[in-house]
Amino acid sequence: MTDTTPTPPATRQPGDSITSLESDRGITSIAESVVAKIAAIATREVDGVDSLGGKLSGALAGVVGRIRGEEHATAGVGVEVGTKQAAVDISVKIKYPAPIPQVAEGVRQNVIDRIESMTGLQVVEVNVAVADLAFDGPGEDDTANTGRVE
Amino acid sequence: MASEAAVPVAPVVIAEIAARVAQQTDGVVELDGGPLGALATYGGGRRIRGVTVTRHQGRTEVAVRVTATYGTSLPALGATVRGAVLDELAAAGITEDVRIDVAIVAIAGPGEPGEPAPSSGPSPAPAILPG
Repeated sequence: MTDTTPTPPATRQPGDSITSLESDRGITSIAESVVAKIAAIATREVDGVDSLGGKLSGALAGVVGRIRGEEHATAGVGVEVGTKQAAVDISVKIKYPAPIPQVAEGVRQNVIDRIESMTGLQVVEVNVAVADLAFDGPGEDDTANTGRVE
Repeated sequence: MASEAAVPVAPVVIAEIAARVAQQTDGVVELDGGPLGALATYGGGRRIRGVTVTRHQGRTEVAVRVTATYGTSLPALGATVRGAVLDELAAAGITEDVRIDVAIVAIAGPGEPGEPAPSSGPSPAPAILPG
């Protein structure tokens, strides 16, 4: 009985679409940006992750963040979303000296867990690129100083 | 028997009911009016942001755009909002053939503004319209 419905989905914005869960009383749609943001937050939840992205360093990233605002929250995250599946690419900066493989695996697991539980999408792939390491200042300075004094 | 459209109901009435219900649903942070707040329903001097109501061929389509809380199951949220709005419309005696489309367009992360649900109830903030 649902075949004669020439109704285009109402108020669908370009780039807005994705996951549509149909029911006979309407659909539920989840924007792609929502999936990206879940991935971004899930990544930051993992111990050992300093920040997302890494292509832009400190000050420049700050400026871009101010211009792009909300959008910047998902910098460093790329998602591809189909009707039932999603694939995610993430670029992270990891805190030195956290074990990189373990942190990357933690990111993968948490991103899969969060996206699957919140959106119902099956996550088929999470690629984690470690773009940079973050160092705590004091460590380096101390060694440099001790080498020179005396 | 239950002849549809027996009593015409203004779109803004349906939109306001939908907005109130959606805003009170757990997991909904706020309604989203889209770019420049253009997605809204107007009537009676009010503006209901994030809800549009269209009618054609005897069917009423209500589209609700929401920002959800991080951690919420979004398919479940959509179904909950749809069910609650339909219940409320039925309780209000609106017997049209209604479809409720729920679009989750944004997520509010932990500690972001908007996290605590707006306690002041729905914001039918009477936007005085020009003209």
